[in-house]
Formats: sequence, C-alpha cells, structure tokens
Amino acid sequence: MAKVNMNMVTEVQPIQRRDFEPETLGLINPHNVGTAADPIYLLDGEFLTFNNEYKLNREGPNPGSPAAVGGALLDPTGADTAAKVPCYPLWAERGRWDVQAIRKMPVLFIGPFEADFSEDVLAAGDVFAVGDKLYVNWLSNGTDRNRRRGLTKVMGTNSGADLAIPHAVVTRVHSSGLYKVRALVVQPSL
Amino acid sequence: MSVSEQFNELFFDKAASAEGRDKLAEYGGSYIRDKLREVSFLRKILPFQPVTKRECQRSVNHDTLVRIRDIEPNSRAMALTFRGRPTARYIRGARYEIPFFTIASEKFEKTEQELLAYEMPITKIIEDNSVKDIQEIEDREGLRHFESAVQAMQEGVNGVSGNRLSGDLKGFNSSNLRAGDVESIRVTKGEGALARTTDDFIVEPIQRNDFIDLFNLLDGSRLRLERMLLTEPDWNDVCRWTVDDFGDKLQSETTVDGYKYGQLIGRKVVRTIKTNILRRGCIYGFAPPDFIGDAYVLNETKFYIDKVMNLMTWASWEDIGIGVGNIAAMCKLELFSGSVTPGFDLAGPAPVTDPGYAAKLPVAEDDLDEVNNRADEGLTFPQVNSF
Repeated sequence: MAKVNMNMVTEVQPIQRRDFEPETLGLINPHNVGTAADPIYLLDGEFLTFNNEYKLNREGPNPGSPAAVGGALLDPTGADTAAKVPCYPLWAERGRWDVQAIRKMPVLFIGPFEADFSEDVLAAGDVFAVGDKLYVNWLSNGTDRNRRRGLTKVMGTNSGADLAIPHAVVTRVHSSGLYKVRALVVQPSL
Repeated sequence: MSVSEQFNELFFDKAASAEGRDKLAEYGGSYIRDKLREVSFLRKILPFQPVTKRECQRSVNHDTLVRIRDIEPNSRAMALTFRGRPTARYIRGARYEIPFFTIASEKFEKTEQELLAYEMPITKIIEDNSVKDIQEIEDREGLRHFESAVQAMQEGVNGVSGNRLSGDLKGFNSSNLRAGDVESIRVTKGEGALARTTDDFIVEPIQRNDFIDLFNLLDGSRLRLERMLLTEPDWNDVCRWTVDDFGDKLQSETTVDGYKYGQLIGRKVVRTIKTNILRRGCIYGFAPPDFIGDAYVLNETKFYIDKVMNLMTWASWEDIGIGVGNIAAMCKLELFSGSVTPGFDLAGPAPVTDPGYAAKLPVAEDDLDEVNNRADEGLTFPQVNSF
C-alpha cells in the first residue's frame, strides 16, 4: 500500500472536496521521476494551486515568483518562493487508480481541518513547535528535495506588495519535532 | 393543481420523511439505471457488465477495488518433418487491472418556497437531465480512454528515428505524413485533410476511400473493424456522396430519406449528436468488444435525497470501471490536417500539437453545461424591448 503522508484527524464530511485536472499528466504518474518537461509525481499532503486554465500544479501564478520548471531544484529561501496565493492539499495517495483513470485529483478545497503530516511532505530542516505558522514552499527534505511543495516554516524573502500567506498552524509535534507534525489547516488561506 | 405542481409537492412531502426519501431514492435509482443503458454511445461500443465486490480484488497499492482480467495467451503452430519436434513455449498469459471511479450528478439544492414558483416538474426534469449528464461524462471518459489508446500505438512511429524517448517525436499532421516523418499505425488522415497545404483543424467532408483506409488499419493486423463511431454532422456528409459512390438505387433513396441503414460498407455505425465530446472530424473504428477490454458498473446507481428544514438536496451517482486491455483494437480517422498528438519533442522541448488542437479534443467538463437559449440575457421573442 502507498504510504499515507497526510492522515486526517478531524472529520472529512464538512470539508468541501473537489476534483481538478493536473496541469501535466506527469503529476499523477506514480512512476514519473521528473524531467525538465515533466514534473515529479505528487504525494498526498503536497499543496497545489491553480494555473490559468483552472488546472492544478505545484506553483501556479505565485506573484513575483519564476515559473516552476519540473526538473529544477528550487531554493525555498529564495525570493517569492513561499506561496502568496491559496494552496490546496492533495488528498490522494500515490498511485490511486481512480485518479489515473479520469486524470483528476481530489483536493481539500474549503474548510478547516487537522491532520498529521509525514516527513515526506514537510521541510526537515525546520524544528517545529506548537503554534508555529506554516507556509507552503519548496521542501528541503528527502531524495525529492526542492521539487515538492508542502508545509514549512521557511517563508523566504518577499518582493512586491504580496506577502507569503500562512496556510496552517502546528497543533502537535510528534517525536523529535522534525518528522511528523499535526497541523490545523485553514482553507482557503488568504 | 396541475400534474406538474402535484409532482413538485409530492417530491417535497416525501422528502420530509425517511420512508418517503427511501421511496424517492428507489424511484430515482431505478429510473436512472434503465435510461443509462439506452443512451450512452460508449455502451454500444463496450457494453457494461454489472459487477459486485465479490468479483473484484482489493488493490495492494491503494485503497480501492480493482477488477483483474486475463488477456488471451499467445501460441502458434509449425510444420515439421516426420523426425522433427515442435519448439517449446512455456505458456504465460498477461492480465490487467481495471480501475473504478465515480460519475455523479451535481448536488442539487432548492428551497421549498422557491419550488412553489414552478409550474413545470422541475425536480423530475432535473432527474431526467441527470441521467443524460452522467451519460455524457461516461462517454467523455470512455472516449479519452480510446484516444489515449490510439495515440499510445502511434507514439512509436511518430518520428523518423523512433519515438519521443529518442527526442524526435513528431506531430501526426498532414505535412509530416506526406513527408514520411510519421506513419499510420492506428491513426490516419482523410483524403481531403491530406491534400491541405496547411496543418489546421478545418474538417473536410468524408470520402468513401477514407472509410476504407480506416478499415484497413484494423483489418490489416489480424483484427476486424466491426463498428464505427462518428458524429451526426460527419454522418450527414455521407449524404454528399454522388451517384458514383452510391449507385442509382441508393442515390434515389438517400435523396428522399437520407441514408437510413445502420451499417455502411459492411460495418455497423454508432452515431452521436454530442459534438462537444466526440468532435467533428474524428471517427473511431473498433474491433468487437471482447477484443477491446471491459466496462463495469459496480453495484447499482445510487440516488441520494435529503431535506433539512426548508432546503431540499439530492444527487445521483454511479461507480464504473473502463479498461482497455488491447490498445491495438481501435483506430481513428482524422478529417483535419492538424496534429493532436500528445507529448513533447524533447529536442525543444516543445509540444507537437498544431495551434488550435483543443478544438478536436472533448471540451472541459465545466463547459458541458452550455445552453443554446439566451433567455437569461433577455433574448426571447417577442418581448417588449425587441424594438
């Protein structure tokens, strides 16, 4: 079974869940290692935004940020890398066949919830503490570092009028505080 | 009180109690299930079979059910001398998984008070339309499976030196086809499209030879094209054929009644008016269903209805699975010159489609609810602001 990286703690029923198409099909191919033209496959608990075609990708129109390129390694401490627009967590573990069959991805779209996030969708460089604000940014964790976007304390630097917006707050820190965090996510974050 | 108004009232009254909701759900469920079989073009190409959980397997990779089906094993015979022995084959049969997914109507909502303002049985109409809406998505998903299959077959020959893995993927357009840079394995162009000097998406009327070229894609590879799927406008273009194509008898008939047979040049025809799903100029050919794959409906079509205070909510959905076990069992005729080939030429990297290609792919789901009337803009006639 695929590993679950975002484990819901609160009820699913009150959350508005929506299915959207990915910007590129490589995002839902569980074997896609990522190339310059084809970004690496998504994990549940990664955060996505809309592009201009109402499709989801990792970065979307983040004001001031350079366009996301699948194969590039992006530095979360760079300018304008933390999300300045609402992002939505993917709620489908890697390799689900319903996702691949209809080429749509379910995201938790509207409504607050609490969930445990694993190390694969968290920035390992952070030492989390209860009450920390979490931003959506490129992750510096694991073999896929700098190619996935998830929750992190790293806000980076901002240029222009738009500031990075917090998407969640840490409610519980498991074990060492590096690898598993329970967070309260508020959707949409504005 | 009219029958329509009575239905609206009955709908609301029944939804007020658990028993009533069960009855409405039962009614809605049975009605929907019956209509779906009748109207989906996908089901004429790949008939749906009902399955239950017992016939499916739990996936070890994710948290859903799949159905696993066997694919015919290969074998051959050989001529031998009296002293020879046949070569051995350690037999092995491939198998494949069919995933399931849900198709649902919108979740409809209406307050009791606003429902009183309708003379038409709006809830009944919505139910009827839900059937058609679900059927449209069924067809759209099925068509995307078929398009993926023919494009996957083409991928290996869409380029001089192989496929996109070698960095030389080329779009399947008329220019590349004429130049020999791409080949027809499961997609071909019509005569009119091939003669165009620009690669665009203008549809050229179908010619008799175009059908033969389509048939030969399957008939030439130990399969037989059994039926075709085409749009009503493309079908109408058949009526443009002259006496040279039809002969005296058929030409006379066609002039009076149109072409009224269910088959053409010996192959069955499935027609559709859903030109926003199957786009004009795209004609598919299929081998018999048992050469293609499987389609399943998991359990029954479900109908949900609820009433909280004065607000009614209802929806319907089905869980289906579509699998193409043999992607070589279908082919496509394109009556336009442009390329809809998916993927990138890695030398660029650049897409290998031609500008405007989206016009020949199914429209987005969000765009399927377009209406023809302009009543919301005040455009009904006669009306006071007409002059």
